[in-house]
Amino acid sequence: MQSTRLFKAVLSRPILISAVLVAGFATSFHTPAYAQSRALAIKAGRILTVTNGTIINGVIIVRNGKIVALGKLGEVVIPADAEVIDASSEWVMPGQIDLHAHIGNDSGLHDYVHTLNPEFRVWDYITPDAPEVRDDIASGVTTLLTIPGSGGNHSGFGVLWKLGGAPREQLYLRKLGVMKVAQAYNPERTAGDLGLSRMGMWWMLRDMFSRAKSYETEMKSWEDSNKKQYSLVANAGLVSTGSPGGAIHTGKQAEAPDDVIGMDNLRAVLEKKTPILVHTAGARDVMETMRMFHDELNLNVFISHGEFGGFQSAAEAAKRGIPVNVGPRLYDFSYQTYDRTFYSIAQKYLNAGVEMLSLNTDCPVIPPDDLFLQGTISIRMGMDEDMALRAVTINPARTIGIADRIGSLEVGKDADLVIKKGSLFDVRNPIDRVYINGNLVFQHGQRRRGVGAGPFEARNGVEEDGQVESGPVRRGFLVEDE
Amino acid sequence: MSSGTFLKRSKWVGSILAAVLAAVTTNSAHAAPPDPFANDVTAIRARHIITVNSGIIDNGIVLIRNGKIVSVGADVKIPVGASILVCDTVMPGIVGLSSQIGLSGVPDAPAGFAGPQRGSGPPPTAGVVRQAAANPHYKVSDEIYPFEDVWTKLAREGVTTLALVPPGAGIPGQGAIIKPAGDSAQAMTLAPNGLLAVHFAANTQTMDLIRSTFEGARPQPVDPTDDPLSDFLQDGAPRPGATSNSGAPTAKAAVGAPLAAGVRPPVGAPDPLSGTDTQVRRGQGRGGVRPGGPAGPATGNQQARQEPVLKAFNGTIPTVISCTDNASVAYALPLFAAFDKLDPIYVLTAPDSNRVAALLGEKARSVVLPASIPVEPLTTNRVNVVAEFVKAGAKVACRPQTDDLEGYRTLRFQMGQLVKGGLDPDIAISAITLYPAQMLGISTRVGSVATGRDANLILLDGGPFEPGTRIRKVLIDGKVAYDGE
Amino acid sequence: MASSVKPIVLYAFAACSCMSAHMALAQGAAKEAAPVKPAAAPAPVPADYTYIVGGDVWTVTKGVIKGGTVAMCGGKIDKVGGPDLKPPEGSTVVDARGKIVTPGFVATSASLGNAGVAPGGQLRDSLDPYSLSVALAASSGITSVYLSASGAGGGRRGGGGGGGGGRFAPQAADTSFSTNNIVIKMAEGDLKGMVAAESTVTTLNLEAPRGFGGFGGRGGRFGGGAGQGENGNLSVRWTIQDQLRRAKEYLAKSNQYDADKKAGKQATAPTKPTDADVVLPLLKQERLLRVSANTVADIQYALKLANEYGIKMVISPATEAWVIADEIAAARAMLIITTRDRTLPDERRNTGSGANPDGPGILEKAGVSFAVLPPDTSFSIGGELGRDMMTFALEGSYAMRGGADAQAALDSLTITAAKTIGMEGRLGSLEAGKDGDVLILSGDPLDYRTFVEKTFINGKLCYDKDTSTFFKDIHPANEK
Repeated sequence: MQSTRLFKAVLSRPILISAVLVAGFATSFHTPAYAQSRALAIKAGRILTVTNGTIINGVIIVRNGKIVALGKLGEVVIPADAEVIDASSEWVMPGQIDLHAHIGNDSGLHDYVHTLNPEFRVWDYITPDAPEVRDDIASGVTTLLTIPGSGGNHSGFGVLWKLGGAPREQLYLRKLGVMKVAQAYNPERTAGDLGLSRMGMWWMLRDMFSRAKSYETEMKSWEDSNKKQYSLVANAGLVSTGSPGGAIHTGKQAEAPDDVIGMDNLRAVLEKKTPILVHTAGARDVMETMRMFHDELNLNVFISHGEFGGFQSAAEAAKRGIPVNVGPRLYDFSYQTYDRTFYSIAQKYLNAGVEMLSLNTDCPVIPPDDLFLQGTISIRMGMDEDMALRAVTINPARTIGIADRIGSLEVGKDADLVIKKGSLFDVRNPIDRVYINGNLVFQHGQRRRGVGAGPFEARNGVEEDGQVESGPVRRGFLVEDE
Repeated sequence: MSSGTFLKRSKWVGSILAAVLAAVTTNSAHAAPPDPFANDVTAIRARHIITVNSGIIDNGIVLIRNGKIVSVGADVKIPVGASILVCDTVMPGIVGLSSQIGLSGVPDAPAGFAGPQRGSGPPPTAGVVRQAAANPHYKVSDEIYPFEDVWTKLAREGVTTLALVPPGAGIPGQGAIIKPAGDSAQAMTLAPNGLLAVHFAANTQTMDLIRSTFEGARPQPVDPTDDPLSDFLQDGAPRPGATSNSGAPTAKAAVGAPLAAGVRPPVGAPDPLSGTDTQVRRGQGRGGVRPGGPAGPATGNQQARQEPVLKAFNGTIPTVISCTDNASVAYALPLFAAFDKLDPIYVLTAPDSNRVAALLGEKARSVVLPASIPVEPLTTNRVNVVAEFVKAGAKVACRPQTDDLEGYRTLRFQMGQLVKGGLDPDIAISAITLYPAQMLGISTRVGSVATGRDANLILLDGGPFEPGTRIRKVLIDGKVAYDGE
Repeated sequence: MASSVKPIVLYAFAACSCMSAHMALAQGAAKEAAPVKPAAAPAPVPADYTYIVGGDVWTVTKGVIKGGTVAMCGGKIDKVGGPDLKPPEGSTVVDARGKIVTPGFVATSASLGNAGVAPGGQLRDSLDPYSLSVALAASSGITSVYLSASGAGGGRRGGGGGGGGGRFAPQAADTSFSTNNIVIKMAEGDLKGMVAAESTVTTLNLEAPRGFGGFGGRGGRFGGGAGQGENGNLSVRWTIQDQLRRAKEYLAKSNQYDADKKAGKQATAPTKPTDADVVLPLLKQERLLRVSANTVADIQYALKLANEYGIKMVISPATEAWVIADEIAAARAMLIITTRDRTLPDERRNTGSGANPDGPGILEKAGVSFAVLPPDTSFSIGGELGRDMMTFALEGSYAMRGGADAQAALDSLTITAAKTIGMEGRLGSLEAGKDGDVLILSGDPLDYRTFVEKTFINGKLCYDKDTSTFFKDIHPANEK
């Protein structure tokens, strides 16, 4: 996103500064008020940047919640005031991003009355401090896309938010995080006469989008005919204000068209600021999702789940460059293939050429803190370790459009870090520390669910690059000297 | 033969008369069905006679008199006065093995244990597990109503013999082998107590019950040292009517075992057979064990219970054992192996029963399978289970996929599918005629077109397994049970 | 390195010197009634030698033998040795070079999809050797499974659920001692081969739902009543203790009587209480008692029984065992735990409570032996992977995550598990004389990338990854 550029654009127009202040909504690219003041210097045995390879014996400098420097020890200047964290026997990797979560939201999974609910938005109702969210942090997940359920064809808009205990308004990465659509294998169970069949579901979605398009055209022309700035403000930043019209009324001119709150939310989708997450599965329905949203409506869509034989449409997803977010199921057994064979869903999509592949938990279907375990199992079922790490970090970040802030360890990105011995996916070692926005939010030994048991020293060494130490007893930890 | 002699006697007159008669009857065969009662003899002229036991005879003749087949061959002479039926193909009537058509269908045993037990898995999807009961004295033949239209409808499909089995878990009773024609149950029945039915299930209660029932039929050695006064010693008091000590030896039978005829029940031993029969209990007081009644043969009720088990034990009548899944077969085989004179017929229904083909084939067991090519679970592989069993060495009879009229209507077509799927056509035809007859021990009467057999025949206008073939006539005991012309 | 394994089709007829082969054959031959055959000379005793050579042999109890050999015969392990142990002529040789050879995993509970067992029914009569779960178990390296009809001390069924913690409420109370259990082998299609041993332990369920009035029905963390045990089920506990006490008295009197008789003194035989038979073997330490208990209070009660009556005990699922690890160690009790249990702590209590992911480390440090079970004890084919029996060894990895060392983790899948079901004489390690339940693995069993390549049960090859349809499309990145 061009947040910094637009920010400058706003600053250059005094009237807009006041407009922004008047609006009174905090935007998340401001320095968060809760960020730590002291710099951190984390010395690490391995730094997995994800996008720029691995740094052996490196250091990361964190200030004000951002990574300000990283590189090899000796090549990076450690600020004098920095708190030095010695993780030289450990690995550091970015915090994980789960793009399909139903936790942190106690307001109910979805409504069943109408099958299309563009007015609904989860960001009104998150509970950032729920126990399962704390569990999630303890497993190294730092960002969640909490979405409504799949009981209806379109159950509302999910919210993209950062875990970790910041003040409420500063948690949101994007309030209209994603438009949630369920196109198969659930909505039909609660549909009435219309929406029971795929035909009915798709007609309703098409109809809604066509009305949304008319609405958008109408609103846009009114905004353009007034001040151009309005649309700048409306388009600026990552946060949709959610208020009617998305624009600030500064008086003047003809009356704005009537606001329709649901249609307004859909504007974000039509203007490609908010992608569409489609819960879909089975070869036919995966294909239809892509054809309808990508080919016909020309919108940003990504496939969520894609199981039950959906991998058979993988080549079509690859052709269109459509991201695929796999989970909670990681394999199909005989589903639509009828051969008593286990197929790794993620691997099938990868083999067909899908590049933007990510993993999710669909928590609480599986526990939220099993996101890394999804990676572990995917590796077991054939995925490359590097790919697995991308699948829980940079790929979901890119898929949801937040990769400028999170998803990898790069200068300027948020300091969301996971520190542990060995690979994130090696079950045998626990997570040692988790930082979110530069704040230590979890440390091993701290009972994630309440009464602390005191710090506990991890006893075992870490596994290196598939080299299996012979014998059942393992000692020490090896840091590879390159 | 008398007709031949007749002809020889008056050559001229006779041959002219015969020719005229033949012409007349041949013509009228096309105009109106000949009345078989007009003549002793019916002759069937067919382009193909599928004898089953000795190949196919082309352009042959089957002669029927008094309900029996008197001769079969290509060079059989049709006697004068015989009514002649002509058709394309004639085959033996279908012998259906293990059916509940025409029965009331109310299982006898009450529902027992239902639901899952802890620690051993999710609830059974099959539903309630029925409590097994041993009622070998129940007879299906008691329930047959001869005027149900289902019998004529069955006959229409070419079913001329049917082995009925009672429903119910455990040992539900004696089946009956019937023909679907007759005006009384007796007239319909081929052999009154033709088979003993067992519905097997793999659980302790059922298996113990079955095992102890058959064990009870094992002849017990008479113990000469047995003290006839043991009646008194058991509980210290003489029993009323204890004039039993007139020499009939007390059997030291296994506890819970019924007795061979002629042996007194041991005092105090509960008899599972007589014990569960309320009639016995009502009439006899405590537990059905007669406290020292008159010596000699068991009561009528006890005999009714013991006799069929004895016959099954000795192989006099076959034991039809139905197993609904493969695990049951794995349990049933060793259980019944202990009774080496038993004549078991295994009726299997599971779609993946080919997994136990080797187990049953290695001892050339008799197996009844549905005539279908099921799909192997979780795949799209269709498995010709019947062919697999044949290959493994089992003797296979086929019954329809569903035990109803529709099933029998499509049976020949299904067999045709099996043949297309690799089953030997000779075995296919035998599987619905000769083999089930042999398994039931009635092959001297039905199951093939041969001299001496009952005239149970199907007259077809084409090959038996061709989809377009229709049944022209069905004869049961030489009488037309169905006329499709 | 590609593994080149000869198909197991040859059976040698060479003279076999091992006793077990003779015995196994004799047992096998006795069952079926002999078909009528013309008299023939008795066939020579066939010997089915199978030699697994070249792999790293993790014996579990006696360290690792690099490039070692495991020889099986007659369903048992005949020899375990180094590379110098060469296969004789005519034996079947299995090449395990580059692989790791371990004993088969032992599951101390499982949901196999069987129908239940009726009251009074025997588990041995209700097995299904054709169940898909049996085939899946062999493919996951599980060679033996313990099943109990009473459900006491079983693992959890179904997923652990997210976040909310808690566990499934115990079933209807069966608080008596039960011996209706069985250990079965995952030998697909082989009913006879499935039954390994019947009634190996005695079980007792201490978790009967409580809450007769008072705090009942609050649906606390452990289902049923207040969940703390102090208030509930006094009568049941009294019954248990009374039964044990009377049996103990009887035992003392009986021993005295025997001593007196031997010494020639006059003595009257004591009358045995009617309910003593089931507990006497426990008092004599001839049998193990498997107790189901979760809370600190319930576990402590169990330990009280163990200490007072000298009972060898296994406690399962023992969620809060980590709180009183030292007491458990002192009582020499063993545990069967689910390392990934998610029971929330009880904020009202002053001590630790609920599940602790670092529990395994605490327990191991205190010297407590434990076996492990995953949160879901079924073999799922629904698509979710990592929490059920299909990844059984992962639970051992989680024990390491919780602080236990690799040896304890390996033991928890093998020898300790065998001990908790009373089968340590036959299962759980690669030693001569034990059952021929052997795995050939692609790597360290506790490594998440390791697959089972071959499974031998009772000396027979029951699963081969190359020929099975299950994983033919799966190629882990570290596949050689």
